[in-house]
Amino acid sequence: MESNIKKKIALTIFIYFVVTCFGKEIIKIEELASTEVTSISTTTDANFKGENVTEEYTTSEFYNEKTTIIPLYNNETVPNKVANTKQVSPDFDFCACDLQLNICDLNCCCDQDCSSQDKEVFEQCEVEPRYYDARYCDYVKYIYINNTRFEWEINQNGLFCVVKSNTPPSFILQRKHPLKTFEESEYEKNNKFSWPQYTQGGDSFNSSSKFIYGSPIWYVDQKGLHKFDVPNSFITNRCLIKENIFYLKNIHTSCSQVDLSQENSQLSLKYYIDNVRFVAVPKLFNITKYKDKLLESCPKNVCLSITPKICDESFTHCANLSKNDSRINIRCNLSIKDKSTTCVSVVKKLKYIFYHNGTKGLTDILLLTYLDEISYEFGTDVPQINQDFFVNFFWSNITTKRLVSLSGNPGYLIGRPIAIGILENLKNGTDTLLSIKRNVSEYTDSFLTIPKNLNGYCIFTSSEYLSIEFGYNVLTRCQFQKTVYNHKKVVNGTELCRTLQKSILKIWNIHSNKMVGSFGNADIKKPDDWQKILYKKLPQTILNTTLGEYYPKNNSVLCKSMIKSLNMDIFHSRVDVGSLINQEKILALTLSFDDSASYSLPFKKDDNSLLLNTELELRVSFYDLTVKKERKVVDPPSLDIKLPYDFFYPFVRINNSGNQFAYNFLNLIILFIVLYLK
Amino acid sequence: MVLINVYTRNIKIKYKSTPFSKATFLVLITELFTIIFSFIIGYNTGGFWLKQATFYEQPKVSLLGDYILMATTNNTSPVVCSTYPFFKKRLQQYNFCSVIKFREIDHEFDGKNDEVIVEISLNLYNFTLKSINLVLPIKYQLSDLCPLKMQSLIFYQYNFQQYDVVTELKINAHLQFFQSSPILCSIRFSEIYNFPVIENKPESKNYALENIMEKYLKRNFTTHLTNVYAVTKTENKQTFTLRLLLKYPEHHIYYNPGFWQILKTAWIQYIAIYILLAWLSRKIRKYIFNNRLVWYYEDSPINKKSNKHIYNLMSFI
Repeated sequence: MESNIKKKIALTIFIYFVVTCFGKEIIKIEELASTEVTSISTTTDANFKGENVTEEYTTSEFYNEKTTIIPLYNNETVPNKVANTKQVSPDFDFCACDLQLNICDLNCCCDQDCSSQDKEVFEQCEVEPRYYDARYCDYVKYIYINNTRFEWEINQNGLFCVVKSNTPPSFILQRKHPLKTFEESEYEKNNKFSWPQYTQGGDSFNSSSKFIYGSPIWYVDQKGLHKFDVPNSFITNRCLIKENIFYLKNIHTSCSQVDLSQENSQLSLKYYIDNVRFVAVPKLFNITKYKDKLLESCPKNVCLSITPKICDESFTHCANLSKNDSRINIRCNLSIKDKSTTCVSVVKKLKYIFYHNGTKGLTDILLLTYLDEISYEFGTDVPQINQDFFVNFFWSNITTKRLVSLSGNPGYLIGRPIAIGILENLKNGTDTLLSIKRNVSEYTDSFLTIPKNLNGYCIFTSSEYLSIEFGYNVLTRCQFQKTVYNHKKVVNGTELCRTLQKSILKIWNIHSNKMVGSFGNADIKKPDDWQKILYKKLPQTILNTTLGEYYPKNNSVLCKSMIKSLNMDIFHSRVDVGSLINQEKILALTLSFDDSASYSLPFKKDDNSLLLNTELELRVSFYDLTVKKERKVVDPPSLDIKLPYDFFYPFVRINNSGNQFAYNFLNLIILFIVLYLK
Repeated sequence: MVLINVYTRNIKIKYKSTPFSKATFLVLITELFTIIFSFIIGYNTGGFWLKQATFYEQPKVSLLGDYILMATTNNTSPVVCSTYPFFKKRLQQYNFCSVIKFREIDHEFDGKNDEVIVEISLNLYNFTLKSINLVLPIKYQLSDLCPLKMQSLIFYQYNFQQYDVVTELKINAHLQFFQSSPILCSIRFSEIYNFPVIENKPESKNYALENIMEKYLKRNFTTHLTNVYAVTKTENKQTFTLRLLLKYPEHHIYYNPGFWQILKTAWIQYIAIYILLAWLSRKIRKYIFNNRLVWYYEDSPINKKSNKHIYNLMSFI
């Protein structure tokens, strides 16, 4: 009851104030009406108070209205309170744009240092970040803060204003208090910008940590214990950084050395093998026991030494290297006669082969090297020496020779080579046995390969080839050059042309008994895993149709029906094998030759030779024959009526992205309950 | 005395028939026709089920404080500045950056940054820059309609002209949000990209630009710079300054609407067609029943007699 009465009283007071204010406002308007004061009445300057001049300014820059300016002290309607407003609130002690003491700040209209004459040079007044609540009658009081070139006041034009409000007192919550402790300041940094600080850990040797995939590899040299790393390029091709090597992570890095001299130790093999011993497994390495003489006191089974070998560029043939071999050091010779510098035994390629035994660590380390000779003439730029580093890990019980890599198990993986084999008939008495022959050690014999374009010419050897990768369409062009000799007395044009045709077929590695593996794991013991290559025209037929004519008059041979291009089409489909889904299977490999070319080739009489120089083109295309999988019911005919796939869109799951539909069953139940209750 | 209409009520006349009659069949068919046909019309005219909807929102973007600046020069040594430990350990000798300045500006104090100023100065020790790459990891957050929290990148590349000795590069740009699929509005989905693009690991492949780009563009949601305007300046000094002024505008985002939103839009369309068809089928029924084209009993409160007659008949049946 009491509170109710209080409320009523408060309301009455409020109404009373509003009404009083209203009354006052009317009086004000009446008074002002006689002096034609609109919303803003202004005086030019307090200094001009004696002069009774009424000026009219059009201040369209700031206000889009006409302003009548009258001298402040001439107008009796302005209450005296106005002059004192600046003392009313301490807020007005500040003028936010007044940034120079005792000097008039430009475009700062509230600056006390600026006279009205000074203010005439201003272009505009800077806006201060101030807030006034225009609903209250006090607002009039606050607005007298002068922030224009003129001194002015506002007569509030609103019908009502709040003189006093009886709402509970409020205050603005803001951070003002200084932080007391350092911990408090650290807490405040959360979720705010600060420069990141990373702790650099994990650099010290920890013998108790597990030796697993991705653990660092350590080596010992005369300077102590280090993490194993190899040079690598970064941003530019220069050997800028050292790449850390991690246990069981194979890596290949390549970078250029710009300093070709004997002083550059990284070019010399000695740098990589001399006094370098690898820690087999950190667990066995007792850093405190070996102390300063790590290299000497470390037992041989813990600190493994490297077995270096000198190899050819492709690392196929290697020879052992003794410790006293002169080749472990780079030697540079200046030859004044040739005006050149020649360096021998420059490290070009290094291949680390780590044999390991799982968690038991490394067992053996091979370092295959390829050294080269580099020379350059005086006055020319020093050549950049490109270095390649390979790091490979193998299980210790497996040798590299026995490695057979599959292109997928069972389905082909995208980007993997296509398995090929050769069908052989083995006659065992009266029975003929079909078997697939596949020379695994030779890449070109076990996978589908085509000639490589090397400087424009077709090259196809056991080391230079282009592998067809599953799923990648390829078009290659290269120049084919071949010379055939006529060993007989009479020039047989057809025979010469057929020999040329044969050499074209040979460079494309065409073999009429070639088989292609249906799956990436095609096994030579299972003939069903293989399919015969389909030909538009068999290579033998093409050879038979090749004709040549010799024209002794102009000493040329005209070869007809020569091959100029080959289309290799691979048809594949994604099938389900057992419970494995979407396994790529090759359904067919077809070859079709374009044998429409005729060449008129010059016949050299001096050495009875015929030279063919033509461009060969090879196109490889992959065709995906996968159809939409459908489950067919074998039983009696069923009516197959289908609504569009998204007919009941929000109720059914359409694609995998629709995770939100997992809850839709629940939604459906709710919907039915709602409808049922209705 | 004048009489005025103060209240009206309808008299309900019931038309009755047996379950297996022409009249029942007719009513059933017309009802089903209106219900099903309005669905079919709604579906076949397209856009019945709302599959994507859009909204605009200014994201909350903030710099994580990390940066990578990689520049190639006219000699073989590059300029590399970064906060990541890998760079500090391996490439510190190529760090020629002298001052890095970040300023995030929130004009309205609404907790969302509106602009960012990035200023990087580096010393040129008698070399000229050929290209510059700047990578700044950011935190990107949407919270209005669909929550999304992700770590993204500000990626900027610039190649200088061959004989240019540029000492200042000023760039003005906007940050754009690019999505290759709609956002799914669920809490579970909101943090699928909330992990760093650049992994802080000691292998160089994590920091190679080509790998960062490849990994970043595999994401479905990425941020890019648009409206990029760059101005270069050449002065006779040995420092280079990059100044990037980036604005974060409102982003246009499309998302998969929720179940009830789909149903709501479908319902609006359905009911609009249903009203028309229902009116049509009512007309048909009215015509048929008024003209007594089918056989039925009329249960009218006006004619009590016939009423009784019907009850008798019904009990007979």
